[in-house]
Amino acid sequence: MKLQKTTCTILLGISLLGEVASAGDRRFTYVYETTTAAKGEIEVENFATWKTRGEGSGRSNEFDFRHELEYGVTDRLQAGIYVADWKVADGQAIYKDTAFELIYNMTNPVTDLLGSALYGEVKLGDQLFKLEGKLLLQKNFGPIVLAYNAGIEAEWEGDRFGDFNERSGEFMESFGVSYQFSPYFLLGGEFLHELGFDEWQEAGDPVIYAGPNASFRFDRFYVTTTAMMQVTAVTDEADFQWRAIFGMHF
Amino acid sequence: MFKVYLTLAGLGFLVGGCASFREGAPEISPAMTKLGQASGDSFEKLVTGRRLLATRCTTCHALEPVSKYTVEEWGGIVEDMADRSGLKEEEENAIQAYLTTVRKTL
Ligand code: HEC
Repeated sequence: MKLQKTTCTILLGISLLGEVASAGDRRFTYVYETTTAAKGEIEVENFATWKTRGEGSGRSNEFDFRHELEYGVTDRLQAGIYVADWKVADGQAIYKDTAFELIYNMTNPVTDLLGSALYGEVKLGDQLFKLEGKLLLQKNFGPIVLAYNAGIEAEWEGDRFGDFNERSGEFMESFGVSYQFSPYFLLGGEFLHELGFDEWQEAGDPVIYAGPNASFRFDRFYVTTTAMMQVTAVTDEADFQWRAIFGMHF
Repeated sequence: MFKVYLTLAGLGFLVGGCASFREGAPEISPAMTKLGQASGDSFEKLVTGRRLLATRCTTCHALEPVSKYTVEEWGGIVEDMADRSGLKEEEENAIQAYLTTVRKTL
């Protein structure tokens, strides 16, 4: 399915739309934090990810985009919708999927011994169906924040939705550390470990990424970005990826 | 044995982390309770204010020491920050009451 210009315009419209507050500016782009939006709060986040792999003329690039709307159902439960995940490859914009996520906050990273939350996601595309569950942990030590995520996902793919002939699973864990130099500027690093299971059986090669991140906060918006190098040598996965999240509150 | 040390170190780390927010949000002392009551703020309101400050004002950045700003300065900061935290009016009031009371006892 090709993404129409109008859809892009609508998405941009949503991103710029009125009364939106932030649940908290993100310190990380791959790692999730355990804090959720307050009841009734809406947050908008736009993701851009660039992935590249291969060498010389065989190098391939992919640009992924995501527009997410998050809403605080209660002070602990946050619902999110990825209005669209789409990518640009070979100069064409292609719609990938739409997803729904729920994050349930259990303990707070500042006032409790350890902050924790449960994360669930359902992803629907015209060629895929995916379920994902994660445990999120976090601890704040004043300006230093540590966060850890671990999760599993199951994915079904086919030529059409419902006509799935491939299934795969994945175990993932990620870790992030961030240091606040000022409320405007934070620096840190992220680490990502993924292990795929084709047909839910054989484990593939583990893929590990690590790299620095930075977060810049302004009055009404923030930008958080991470550059990740693959430290393993799995050739059919990106050897470098860069992600930026642009969040807004009015 | 090594594992025991590691666990203890981990626990110490976590408890240390909890202690670190006491500077930005000190516990409510009897003196604060008295001062709060004198200006019409109940003990419960101060407790709520402290909890909200520690949980809702730390999603973007760490807490700053209460002593760093005057009561008036805090007033302006909280008003500005309350918007960004999506605080309801009574929640903002509770944080204001708590910060004012703590600041006065310093
Ligand atoms: C959405 C993110 C966000 C939340 C939530 C937030 N702050 Fe801030 N805070 C900032 C940013 C960004 C700055 C940097 C200065 C600025 O933009 O005014 C800042 C600066 C500050 C400062 C430094 C003084 C100043 O104005 O420069 C204090 C103190 C502060 N915040 C307190 C609070 C309190 C109290 C709360 C809870 C009511 C809170 N913050 C909630 C983003 C946030």
